[in-house]
Amino acid sequence: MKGLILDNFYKTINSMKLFVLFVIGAGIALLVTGNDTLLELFVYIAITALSVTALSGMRKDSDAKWNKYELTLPVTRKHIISSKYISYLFWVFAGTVIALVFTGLVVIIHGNVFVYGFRDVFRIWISGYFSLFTLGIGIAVMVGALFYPLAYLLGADKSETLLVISVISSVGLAIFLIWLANRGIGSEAEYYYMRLGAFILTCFLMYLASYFIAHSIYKNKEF
Amino acid sequence: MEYILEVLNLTKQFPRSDFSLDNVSFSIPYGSIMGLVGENGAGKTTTISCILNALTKDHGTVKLFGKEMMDEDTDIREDIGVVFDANNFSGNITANQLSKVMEGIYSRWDHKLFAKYLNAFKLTPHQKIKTYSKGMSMKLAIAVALSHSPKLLLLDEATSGLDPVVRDTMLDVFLDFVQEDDHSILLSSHITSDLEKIADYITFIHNGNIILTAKKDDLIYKYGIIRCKSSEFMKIDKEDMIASRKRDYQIDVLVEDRAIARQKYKNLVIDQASIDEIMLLLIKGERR
Repeated sequence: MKGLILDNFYKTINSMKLFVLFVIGAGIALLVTGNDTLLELFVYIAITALSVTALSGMRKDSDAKWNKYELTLPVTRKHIISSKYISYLFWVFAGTVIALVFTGLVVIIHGNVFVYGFRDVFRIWISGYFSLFTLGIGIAVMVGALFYPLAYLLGADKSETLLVISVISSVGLAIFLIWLANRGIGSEAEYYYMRLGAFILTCFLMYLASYFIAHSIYKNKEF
Repeated sequence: MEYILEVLNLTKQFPRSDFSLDNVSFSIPYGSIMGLVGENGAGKTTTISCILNALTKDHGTVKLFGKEMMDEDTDIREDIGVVFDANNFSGNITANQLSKVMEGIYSRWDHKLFAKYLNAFKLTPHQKIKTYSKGMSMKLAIAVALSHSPKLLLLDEATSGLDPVVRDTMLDVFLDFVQEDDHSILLSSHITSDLEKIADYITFIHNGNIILTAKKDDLIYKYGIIRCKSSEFMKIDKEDMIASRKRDYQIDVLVEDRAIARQKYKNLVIDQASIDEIMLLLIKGERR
């Protein structure tokens, strides 16, 4: 499986040129202005765009008929699916690290630009950064959770459409989960971390369920 | 005799198509090369895909090294090298990166041997695969297939897209490969001249059906084509005919043994048959 993960890595890294240009450009603007709206956008896009780039590899796999060739290698179909899900989480993590680095630099240069107007259970002013990163990671994870089973079911040649559907659906699902958390757990400050924890846990449980669904679809797939 | 590959009554139907594989059966002995010949759409790729479980067969058995291969039998796939007729690798990686990928997949991947093949096939290790021509992509695929100590090569139109000089080099590589007693090759192709050069056995497939399997030497040195007029055709014993085809001014009849046919039909012209002619007769003619 090591080779499959490396293959996924090579395919994604070679598509990163545009992303690198974006990070440099937006990052410079962010460090100069310290604008909180730009910071918010930067965090969401950095985490999601990097991981979404990894998903574009599926279309290339389909075009190159790598999907068929992969089955002739000494790997199981489970390995193939696992490598995709592991690789995707790696890029979510990489996007998070990039976002964290720039956020840290913004705080160092401009101070704490993202403060909520209430204190948490420890009586500390709640920093918006927790919400920012939890939401960004959660949406990115849900995009992967939706995309992979859909792509295996409907075909990787529809990758672009499925990607758009996955991103929009993930944003919608995130809004729904936050609403649910506020209703179910409570919207008071003392329940802030519980709401965040419930949200991110739900996103990762969705990702895990998606893995089993994708495997179930893929194990009978023909190429 | 032991067989490295045994295909028995392989059947595969496609719901939205008229095409199907219908009880395809053939076997490849250890240490031999089998050519799988057929026109475009005959079922060569479908057969190989079913052997490799890329397509799910409806009925029949396929045994590789005496065992039916399931998804979890990765040890069997360690011993198989595969080349399909298209470039299957990502265009954005180089041959060197591909070698690192394969090193993480095959337990017996030999990077030095791969580098040797790249050099022999004049492929640049640091060049992106998307800049390769079709011939270069095919050479790369063959290099990958050979570089993990396989015992069985399944080559689907692996020599198409190669110029005659390179094809000749590849055929030498394949002949070298089967020098080992436990190595074999299944080579599907419609370039029958390649198969005439290296195959030990040839299986003809048409419309998802196997129409003939024979030793290549028998096909070339034993089989023959009677070329006769309609009136002479009526005098030929139906039992002697494998297939016949009406041409403009003559009828061609494929017989299994031209030496015996010459004894029996002294007045008729009986020629040696090429694999091409045999294929045309079997596919375009009437089979008995």
